[in-house]
Amino acid sequence: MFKLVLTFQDTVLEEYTFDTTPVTIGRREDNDVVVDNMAVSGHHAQIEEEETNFYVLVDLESLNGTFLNQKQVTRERIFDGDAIIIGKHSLNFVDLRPEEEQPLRAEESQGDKPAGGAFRDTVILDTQAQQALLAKQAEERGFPQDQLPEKPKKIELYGTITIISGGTPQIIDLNKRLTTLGKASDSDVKCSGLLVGKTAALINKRPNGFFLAYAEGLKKPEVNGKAVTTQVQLQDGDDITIGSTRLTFNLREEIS
Amino acid sequence: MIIEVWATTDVGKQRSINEDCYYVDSDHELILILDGMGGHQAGEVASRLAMDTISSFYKEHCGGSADSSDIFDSYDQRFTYHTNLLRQATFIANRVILEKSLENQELIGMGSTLAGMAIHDFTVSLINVGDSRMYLIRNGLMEQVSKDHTLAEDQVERGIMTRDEVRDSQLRHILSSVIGVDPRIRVHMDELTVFPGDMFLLCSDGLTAVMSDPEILQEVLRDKPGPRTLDRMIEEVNLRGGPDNTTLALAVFIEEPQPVKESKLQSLLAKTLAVFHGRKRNISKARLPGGYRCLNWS
Repeated sequence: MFKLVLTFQDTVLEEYTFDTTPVTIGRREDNDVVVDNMAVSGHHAQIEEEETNFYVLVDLESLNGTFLNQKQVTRERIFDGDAIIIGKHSLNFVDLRPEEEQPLRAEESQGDKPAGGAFRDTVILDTQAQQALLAKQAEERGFPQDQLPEKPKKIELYGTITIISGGTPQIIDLNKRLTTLGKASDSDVKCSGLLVGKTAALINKRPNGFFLAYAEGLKKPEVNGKAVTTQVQLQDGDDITIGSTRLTFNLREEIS
Repeated sequence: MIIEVWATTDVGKQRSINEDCYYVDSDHELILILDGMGGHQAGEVASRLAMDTISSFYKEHCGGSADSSDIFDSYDQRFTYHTNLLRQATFIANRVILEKSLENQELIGMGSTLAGMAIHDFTVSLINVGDSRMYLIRNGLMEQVSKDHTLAEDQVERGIMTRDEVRDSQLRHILSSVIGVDPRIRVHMDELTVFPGDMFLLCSDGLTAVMSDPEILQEVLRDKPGPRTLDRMIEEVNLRGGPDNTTLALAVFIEEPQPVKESKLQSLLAKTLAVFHGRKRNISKARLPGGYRCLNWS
């Protein structure tokens, strides 16, 4: 049981009390709440019930939209004290059920908390339904199917290591997420020298660059003559020394 | 370096069943968080089935290497053996759940998300499917190191939405990839070198649905990391209505005060601590920079 108070420019025009749903709102005479104004669609919106004890405001694809507390909605739960705006008219919603039977607004969206809304549960859709939904949303945002916006540019980073001395001269592409440097026979970059660890260092490819980290061994890797104890971001042209092996790092950016 | 790991799960304030689960294995240095979904009790079945499949496959093969194994459907050369192993385990779990759901009318459409990390050779392998997340907290800053498989994220990649709009979009609740629903599955992988002081937080969307990233970071840094950190976060989630199940795991990498070689007694104790599954709080060990194999528990 609930009450709707129809007001126009702060003047109360009418009060309606309802026991059952749906309750329809619109300009035409066959609505439960008739709002006679050209800004209001023939059948503009309705109030329904939803499990377990919620009242829900549903916009019936009206021309000028249905607003709940200043926010345009298509389907939204409503609570005691909410203001529904249709055209220039306002309908204040008063829940007449005993307080303990009224639902709590607790998890509704407010302020800086993430929005709740209609999909309270996580949903899985099959691929076709996903594509349809994505296309629909794109269209609503002014991107019809054949005029999708350009994909945001991505900067792809390409790093290489060149072995200058203390190993077989070669250029190694750093296309793995992790490249190992050390004495171990399965290292990606084999290094030699006294006290050099099996895995002396690792180069980690991250979205924002390449990072060289110390791993093990008494001899720490050096970048531009400085020993690395944790990790450093590598810059184009950096000299890397691991034991008696000298290497150069090169970085290239490509926009894709 | 030593790793301390705590994990906990909570049903929340509005559900009667906890469909989340977690797995912490100190011997194989594996941490998984899973969030099941599906009607009746199907979500619970899916997340546990995924957990059992992934953990047992990983344990079985984590001592192997890329050359000796014919266990892979495909092998991504850009990633280490262990990361490929986690991905293959996820592929298998996908098939297992799909098969299971076809056997029983009540289980059709069940699925599970996954956020997992394995620690090995100075690094962590990260894997995720769906909207369960992983964060790296380093030097007081937090970075999401998982990728959300949601339609909202898809729209960002297509240039239709901005990142700021995602938080208010309904599309962020619709998953574009999940274990056990479609034969094809998208899996996100990453690898990171780790350092003393690093922390990883793994969480189901019960946490991220009600707390923003800055709020989560503030809660993690509030005090010395420990089981209380997780308890405080669960309390906060429930204060905010606890709409969903929440599962959290926090892994903290700390410097060993002095190098201690593993004694026979310690290795014996390590074995006795092998069964961790289902316990509320766990402590793990690992071989990491410094090269020591240490065990720590308190």
